[in-house]
Amino acid sequence: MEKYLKAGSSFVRRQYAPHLLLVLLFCGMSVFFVSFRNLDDSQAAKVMEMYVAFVGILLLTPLFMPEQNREIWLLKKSKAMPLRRLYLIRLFLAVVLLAMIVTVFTHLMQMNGSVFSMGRLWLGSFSEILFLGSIGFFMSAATNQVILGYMGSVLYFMANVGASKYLGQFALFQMMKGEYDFLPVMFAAALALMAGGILVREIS
Amino acid sequence: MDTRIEIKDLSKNYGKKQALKHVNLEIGQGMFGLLGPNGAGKTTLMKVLTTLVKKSGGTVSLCGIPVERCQEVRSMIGYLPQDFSMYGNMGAYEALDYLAVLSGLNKKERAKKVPKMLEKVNLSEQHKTRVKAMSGGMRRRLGIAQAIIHDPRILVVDEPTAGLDPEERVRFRNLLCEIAKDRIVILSTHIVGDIEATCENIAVLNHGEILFRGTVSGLLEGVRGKVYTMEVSAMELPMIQERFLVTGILTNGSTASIKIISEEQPVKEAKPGQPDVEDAYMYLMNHASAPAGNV
Amino acid sequence: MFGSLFFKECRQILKSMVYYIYVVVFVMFLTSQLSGEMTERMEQPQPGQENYGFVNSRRESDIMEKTLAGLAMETSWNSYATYPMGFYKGVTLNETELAEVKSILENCSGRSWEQLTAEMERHYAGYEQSTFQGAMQAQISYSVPVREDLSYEDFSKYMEQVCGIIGAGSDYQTEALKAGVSVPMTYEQAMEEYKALCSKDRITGATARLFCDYAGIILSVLPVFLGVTRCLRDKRAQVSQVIFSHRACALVIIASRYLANVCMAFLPVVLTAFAMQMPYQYHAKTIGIAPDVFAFLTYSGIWLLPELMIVLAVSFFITEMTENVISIFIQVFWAIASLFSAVALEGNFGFHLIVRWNTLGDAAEFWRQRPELFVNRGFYFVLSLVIVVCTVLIYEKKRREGETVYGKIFKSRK
Repeated sequence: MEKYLKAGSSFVRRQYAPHLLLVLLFCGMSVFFVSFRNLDDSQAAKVMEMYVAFVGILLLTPLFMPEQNREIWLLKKSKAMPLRRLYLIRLFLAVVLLAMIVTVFTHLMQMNGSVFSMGRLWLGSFSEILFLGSIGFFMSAATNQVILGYMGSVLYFMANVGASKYLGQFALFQMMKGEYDFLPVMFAAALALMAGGILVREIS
Repeated sequence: MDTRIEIKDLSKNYGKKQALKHVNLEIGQGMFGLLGPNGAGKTTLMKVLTTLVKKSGGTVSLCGIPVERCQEVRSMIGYLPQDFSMYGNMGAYEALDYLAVLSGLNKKERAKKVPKMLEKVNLSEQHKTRVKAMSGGMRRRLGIAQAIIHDPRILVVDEPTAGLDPEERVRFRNLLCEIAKDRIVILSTHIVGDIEATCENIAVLNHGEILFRGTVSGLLEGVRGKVYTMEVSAMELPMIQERFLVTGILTNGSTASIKIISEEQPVKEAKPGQPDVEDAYMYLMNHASAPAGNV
Repeated sequence: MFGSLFFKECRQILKSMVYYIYVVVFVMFLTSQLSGEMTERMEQPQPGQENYGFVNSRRESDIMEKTLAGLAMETSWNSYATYPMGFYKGVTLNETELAEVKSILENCSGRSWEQLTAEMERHYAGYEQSTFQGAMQAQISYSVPVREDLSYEDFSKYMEQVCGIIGAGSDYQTEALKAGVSVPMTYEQAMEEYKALCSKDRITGATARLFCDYAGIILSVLPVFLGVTRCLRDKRAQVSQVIFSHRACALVIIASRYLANVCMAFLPVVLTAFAMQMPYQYHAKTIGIAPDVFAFLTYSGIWLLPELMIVLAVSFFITEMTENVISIFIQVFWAIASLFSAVALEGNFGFHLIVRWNTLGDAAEFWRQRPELFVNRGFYFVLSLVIVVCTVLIYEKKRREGETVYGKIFKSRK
């Protein structure tokens, strides 16, 4: 247990810290860009889907960054702790942070007099944001270029602004329209992408 | 024309850490070896010479030009860093051509020189091999080619032989010696054999200070008459290692023939031995606390 | 030296996957947005048509009617668009606040809220809402008649009250009101518009503008990936030290990289613009107008090139300084903020990164606002050059001192 904690904290200190700082800044700036007051179901969903969604990209995409260099990757691979476990620790950390942020935002809205069904929005937002983030996670794993990871998830977000109708159950912004059927599909897709990402990085 | 590098009272601090402490050196034409353990300040010294690190104090001039005049200094030096690398997707020719442009060579010069250089470092046949597919030795040879393509008056090579196989190492040393015929070549290494084989003038650096400067024979002089060989039983070995500076051990069953450095004859059985540069270096390092020049 | 480096950089870009993604995404985005045939909207208007499009009006009566219509709409959704920091922020009111706004609406229009919503529903039911065109048409033609004895001054005071309730930066602020409102065009106006389309735009100018409008959106983000990739390549391949020790000065190194990226990023833009304007050139000839053959080039050069340049310059600057991917987020943030902050989809260029002209034609109005566009794009052009110079300075500083400011903060914390 201790070695996992150590691996996690070393990652946070050496590589993850600036990204977390950015997440914090992004969340803090929400007061200028979104309103938490008196929102209904679809308005609350909009805050989560159009603003908080970026947190997923910020948190999940840079997780492979320390081993982008092949020599470092080989070195880490030769260590006793399997790489996938190392990645799982980081992923776990990111997912927990994401869950916390989703909780904070949904509660902030509720405290400011917004009325919506809490459980549904929480699960929906969590799945959707995780899915968006896992696109970046998978892309950066598959290409070993973190920039392509960001490119993938950011462009996916933008594609949804104009062309969500072609994306079926994988389309973002469905909660804004009152649709929640996508939830299990998207959550499963997020899991698949994350597992795929770890697998690709482990063997490549 | 001035053909020397003059370093006077050079200091470099990284925060509180002093990487170079009042270094004084004069380097003339030919091969000059910079010897010292890892972390002695060799790389920092080389980076100061190649304008990559700003000095904290003292003066440095290369062929009469103060190091502050970066542009001029850069055009007369060639530098091969410790871990030379290039864009992975470039072939050998392409990479060399790219760096030749950065050295200010025009198209005509490059067309003539790039193939010649590849030939010289034995990469002609692999001119299309991508950098990311190259072995350590190939990469190092490409590195030396890029460092000399613009015919610099000073060549600075940082640990060029680390990680090379013996054959490649010898070839590399010979190449350097050939290059050094008409220019200053500064070679840093922690591998004593490199210096022994190539350099006439050397300096030994430790903890940012010069421990020794002079010729290889001068360095050997310091240890003359202090090297002994003897046969001991394997059981005694730990005790001897505690008391003396042991520079060589050859175990043979229960006995070992060892080479030690001692001010006086340690025991009657000990016979005087032939000192080599490694012995001299070890002796020097062991006496690191003694002021430079006293050795 | 500069020329050789420039061409070598271009070759490097051609080898990078990011560049091909850039090209594919750009072309896909534009073809998806502009695929429809638009020539029917460039025919000469005939008397008795159902509608003739719309036009910006600054008449007080128009302003009052359209503003009340907007307010009624937003009140029915209970969602008000505001731009307190220049960026979009949706505001929702509580019951008492909402009741106040409704009573203001009732005072201005002289009708009850129930009457107003009933009228609104009736109006919108008459339009095909599922298409963008229909929804647009419905919104443009919807207006709320004003109480007869309401003066513009009284109206302004009411709107100030509304602003007090909703918060700063809404459409009901005095400045927003002054900018005018969109109203349906009459036949005469449409005819004048058509003449301007033929004489000033010569058909292709109008299509080039619409192309730039869409391309400008995607180009506010896409080039950042090229810039960040280029600047991080040195770090990734660990070649900084080697390059630093060579003779080439920082200006030549950075400027050649920058220029190569600008040119390579601009190339697909020009080619796409050229390909997309071909049918309209043909169309112009069929209706007997000599088309402006180079419109695609001048428009994209003036409109898109400075945008592309500033995005690349900012990404170069931030990435050279931080050696991190942070510039991607800053750019995405800036782009989205700029996109949502556009008060109008047509003109009002100001100093927006993304400038909009989301309509085919409206030539007379465009020509009137054109100087503002020049100022905007000129500003970004100059700014990007300034930022490139700053990047050169940072690069040289790194070269001398071996570390970035950012690196000193983060790398020392082991």
